[in-house]
Amino acid sequence: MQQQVETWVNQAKKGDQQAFYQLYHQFKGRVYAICLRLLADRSQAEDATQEAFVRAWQQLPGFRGDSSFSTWLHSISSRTAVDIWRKNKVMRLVVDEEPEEQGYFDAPEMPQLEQAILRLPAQARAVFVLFALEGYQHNEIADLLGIAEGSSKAQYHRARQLLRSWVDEN
Amino acid sequence: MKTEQQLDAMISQLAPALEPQRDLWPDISARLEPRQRRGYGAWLGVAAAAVLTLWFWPQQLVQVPQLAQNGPVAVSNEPQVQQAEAQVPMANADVSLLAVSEQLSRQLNEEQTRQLKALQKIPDGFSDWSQQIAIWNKAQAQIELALAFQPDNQKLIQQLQRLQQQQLSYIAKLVETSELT
Repeated sequence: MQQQVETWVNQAKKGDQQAFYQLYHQFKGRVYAICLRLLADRSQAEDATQEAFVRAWQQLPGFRGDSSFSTWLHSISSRTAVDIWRKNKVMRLVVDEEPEEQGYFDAPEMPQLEQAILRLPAQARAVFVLFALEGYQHNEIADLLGIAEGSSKAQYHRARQLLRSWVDEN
Repeated sequence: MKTEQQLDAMISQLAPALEPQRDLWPDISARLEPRQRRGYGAWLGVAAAAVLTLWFWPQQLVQVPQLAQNGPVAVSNEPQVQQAEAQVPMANADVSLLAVSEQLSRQLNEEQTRQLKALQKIPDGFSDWSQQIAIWNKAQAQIELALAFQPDNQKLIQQLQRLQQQQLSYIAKLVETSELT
């Protein structure tokens, strides 16, 4: 599969949209997962996924293969979702103290922890997803989200506490 | 309450991928621009965007001028004037932005000239392109020098914008004509 991905990447670099479609088909689930977990909103996650792939297409000629395509695409996806997250943050009128109401966690097909992540307050959720699921360090998260490193650690601790209590509810 | 270990175990079992509920490809596909060879057309677009961004960003509330329809702005052929390298005290951020924009503008001009020299065939009517470019460059340098002393002079700023737009339009027409011939 890795070799096949490399072939598609090389073809897409040259402008082959069909090859890029194959890459989209292969990675759309992972990209969407990052976006949904960060944004906790299905519509925004879809928009972010589309934007991430458009950015990937635009930046692909500069992709040199220093990391795997998957890692590279993950990075673009995280940053794209964070960009939207930051816009949302500006739009937020109330302090992020209470868990937000989202429509998505009614989805019974989703695992319990998945639903609980989507219930987290925005900042705690973003820190948790980036640290626990995407492998970012707290200093990197602080830069990405525009918060202090100490806040990132505190929000992560808070997220874990909430998740432990919520998951136990059911 | 779950223990930390139980939570970690649940995290490790999360699916790496979640499928979107609708097909996102059509919208993505519609936004994919075809790859272009690094030709003059693409380069001119970047150049135009750079110039316009540099000028419209720092000036706030400056009215966007219409693209000038007549020829180059009359510029006196005064003796050579030292260009914007002249060391002029600059006190505020606007002036710093101006200096940066002038630097980039000069780099842009150098790049324009380099690209134009690479044209294989100069179309009829453009044989004096280098002189034309030189006139615009000289005019812009003089306005930049004046702006170093009067960085808030809106008329000077607008005149410089017009010159840059004229120059870009001229080069665009030259390249377009060249590609057609």
